[in-house]
Amino acid sequence: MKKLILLVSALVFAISLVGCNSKQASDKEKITVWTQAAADHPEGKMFADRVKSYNEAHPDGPKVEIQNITRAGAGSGYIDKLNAAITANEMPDIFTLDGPDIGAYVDSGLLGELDEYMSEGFKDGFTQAIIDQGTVDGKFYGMGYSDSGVAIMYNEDMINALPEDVKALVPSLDQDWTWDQFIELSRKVDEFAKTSDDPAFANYEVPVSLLLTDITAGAYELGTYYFTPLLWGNDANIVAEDGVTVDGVLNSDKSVEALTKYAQLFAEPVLASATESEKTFHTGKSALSVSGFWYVNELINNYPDLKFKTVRYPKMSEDFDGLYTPSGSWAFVRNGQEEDEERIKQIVEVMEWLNNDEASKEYFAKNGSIPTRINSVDAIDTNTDNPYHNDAWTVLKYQAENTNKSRPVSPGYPYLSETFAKDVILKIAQNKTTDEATIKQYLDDAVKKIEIEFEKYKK
Amino acid sequence: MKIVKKTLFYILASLVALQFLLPLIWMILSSFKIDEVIYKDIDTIFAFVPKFSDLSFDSYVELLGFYNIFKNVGNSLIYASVTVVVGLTINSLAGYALARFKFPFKDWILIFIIALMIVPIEATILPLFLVVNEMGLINTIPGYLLPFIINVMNIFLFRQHFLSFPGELIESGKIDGLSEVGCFFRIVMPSSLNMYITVGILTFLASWNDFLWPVMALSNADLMPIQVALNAVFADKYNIFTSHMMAALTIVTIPIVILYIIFQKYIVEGSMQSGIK
Repeated sequence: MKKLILLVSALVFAISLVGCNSKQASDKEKITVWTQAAADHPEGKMFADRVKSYNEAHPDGPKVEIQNITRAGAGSGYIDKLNAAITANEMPDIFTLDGPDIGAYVDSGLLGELDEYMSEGFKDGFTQAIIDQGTVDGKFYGMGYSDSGVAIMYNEDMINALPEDVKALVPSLDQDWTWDQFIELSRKVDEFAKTSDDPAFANYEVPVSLLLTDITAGAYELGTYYFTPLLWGNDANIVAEDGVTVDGVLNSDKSVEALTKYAQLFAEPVLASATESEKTFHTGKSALSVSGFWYVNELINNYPDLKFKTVRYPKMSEDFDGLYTPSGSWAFVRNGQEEDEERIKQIVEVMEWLNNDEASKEYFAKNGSIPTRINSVDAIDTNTDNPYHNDAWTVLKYQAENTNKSRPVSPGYPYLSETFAKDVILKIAQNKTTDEATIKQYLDDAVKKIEIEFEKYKK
Repeated sequence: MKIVKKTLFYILASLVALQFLLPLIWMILSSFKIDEVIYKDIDTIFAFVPKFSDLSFDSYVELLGFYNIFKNVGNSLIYASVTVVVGLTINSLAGYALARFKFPFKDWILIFIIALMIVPIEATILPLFLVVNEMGLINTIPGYLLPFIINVMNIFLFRQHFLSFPGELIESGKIDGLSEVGCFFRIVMPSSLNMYITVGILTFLASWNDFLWPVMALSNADLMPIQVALNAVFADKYNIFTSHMMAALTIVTIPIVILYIIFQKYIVEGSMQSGIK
C-alpha cells in the first residue's frame, strides 16, 4: 500500500513538473493577450481577428495568443481570473482593464509604463480623454481601444406636439445648451403633458429618464459616469489631481452649486424619478433621456416605432469651455513585472497593433466601439439611411473629438465612484432634496467615508 | 364546511403556485416577443396573455446566430453528469465510512467536514486556482471537474442517511457471502435510491449553475459551460436584447425543468429522509 501511495505521489509530482517546465520554455516564444470580451461575441471576435492579422504580418516574431474571458456585470469572472493569475505569477503579457481601474493597478505596481517603448507620435494619435484616462502621475499606462459617450435624447413625437414657444427651447444637434435650459424644457414638457390629450403622451409618466434605477441595482459607476460632468462643468471634481484628496474638492462650494442645479429635477413637480419604470424612454413614457451611446443601437434595432432625436449633453454654464462630457472605456495595459527590455518592446509593438488607427476603425465597424484615435473618428458614418442614427452619431462624434473628458484617476476609484453615486446622486433623488444645506451635508458625509477608505493610499 | 375549507386551501395553494410560476411564464412568453412589445406589455395583461401576432421565433434565431448556446448546454450536461456519477460514488463511500466504520480520528474528521461546509466557495477559489495551476491542470477538463467531485455537504448528507440504515440488512448480506464493498454496492446503494437521486439533483444543479470556477479554470471557449455563455449574453453592452436574454434563459431552464418533472417524487421523499429543506 505504501508503495502504491509513493508511486501515485511521484507520478503527480512528475506531471506537475512537466507542466511547469513546458510552460516556462514556451512562454518566451509567445505573447499572451487576455480580454474581457466573450469569445463568441463580436467584440471577442474582432480582437481574435486583429491578433490573427498580427501573426500573419509578423511570421518571424513571437506568436501572439489571445484568450477572451467572459465577464459578468462590471467585470467579475474576468477580473477574478486576472487577480488569481497575478497571485499565481501567471499574468498575461497584455490584458484589458476598465479605464477607471488603471490607477489602482498602477498603485499596486502591476502595470508597466508605455511612453519610452511606443513609436514616435503614437500616443498623440489618441484623443485627449483617452490619453488622460491611461495616464497616472504623468506616465502613460493604458491604451484605450474604445471610447464612450452620453447625450440627451428626446421623443420626437412628444416634442412635435408641444407649442411652438416650448419647441423653440430644444437645441439643434450642433448647439450647446445648459442644465438650466434642460430643466426649463423638462418643466414645460411636464406642464403640457398634464393638460394635453395628444396621443404621443398616452403612456407619459415623467419628463426625464435618468436611469437612476441602475444605481439602486448596484451599477454605481453609471451614476458617477453620467453625472460627474455636472461638477466638471462647474470647475469642480469628485477628487483632487493627486487621486486621494476629496475633502475641499468633492464638498467644495462649486460642487454644492452644481448638484443643487441637478437637484432641481426633483423639486415639485418632480421632473425625474429614482424609481422610474423599466425602459421609460424606450416605451414612450418619458420625453427626454440622459442616454449612453449604447441606446443608439438598442433603440434602432429593438424599438423601431420610437422616433428619437439626439442633442448634446448640457453644460453647467454657457461660458464654460473646458472638457466636460462623459467618456472612457476599457483599455489595453501591459504586465509591469516583465523586465526584459527587448521583450517589452515586442509587447508594446503588439499593443500598438491592437490600438492603431486601422484597429480603431475596424472595432467601430465590427462592434460600434467609438474610435479612440483622432484619425479614426471619421470612420463614424453619419450619412446612413437612418436619420436617427446620423443625428445621434453626429453628436457623439462631436463630443468624442471636442468635449469628452476622462474620469478621474484614483487608486481608490471604485469606492469613490460607489460612494458618490449612492450617497450623493441617488440620495438627492430618493429624498427629493433640493436645498443647498442638505446637499452640502450629503457631500460632507460622503467625504468622511471616502477619507477613511483613502487613508491606505496616502503615502 | 369541509368543502369551503378545501376550496379555500386550493385557491390559496394555486395563488402561491402562480406566484412561482408567473415569472417563468413571463420569461418563456417574452422570449417569443421583440423588446418593444415586451416592455409595452410589461404592466398589462398582455404580459401573460400575449397577442398571437406578437409572437415569433426571431429572438431564438438571432440569439443562435450570435452564440452557439447548444454547444455550451452540451458541455454543461457532460460536466454535470460526470460530477454527479463520480461524485455520488466517492461522497457516498466517504459518508458510509463515517457512518458505519470505526477508525482513528473519525470524530475529528467529521468536525473538520462540518467546519468546511460553512466556508463559501469565493473564499477558497483563489487557493484552488493556485493548486490546480501548480498541477498544470488549468484549461483542462480534469482540472475543472476534480475540485468539485468531492463535496463535504454531500458527504455529511450521506453520513446522516447511513446512520439510520438498518444494520441487519448489511449483516444478512455478509452471511450470504458478500464483502463489505459488495454489501455497499449491492444492498446499501440500491436501498438508498431516493437519497442518491436527491443528492444527485443538488449536485447537478450546483454544477449547472456554476460560473466563477469555469471562468477561472477554463480558457478554451469551446469548453465553456452554459452559465459562462449566458453571462456573455447578459454582459453585452452593445447589443442589449431582453428577448435574447429570455430566449437564452428559456433554453437553459428546459433541462432543469425536465429533470424536476422526472425526479420530483424522489426529490420530495429524499428531502424528507435527509431533512433537507
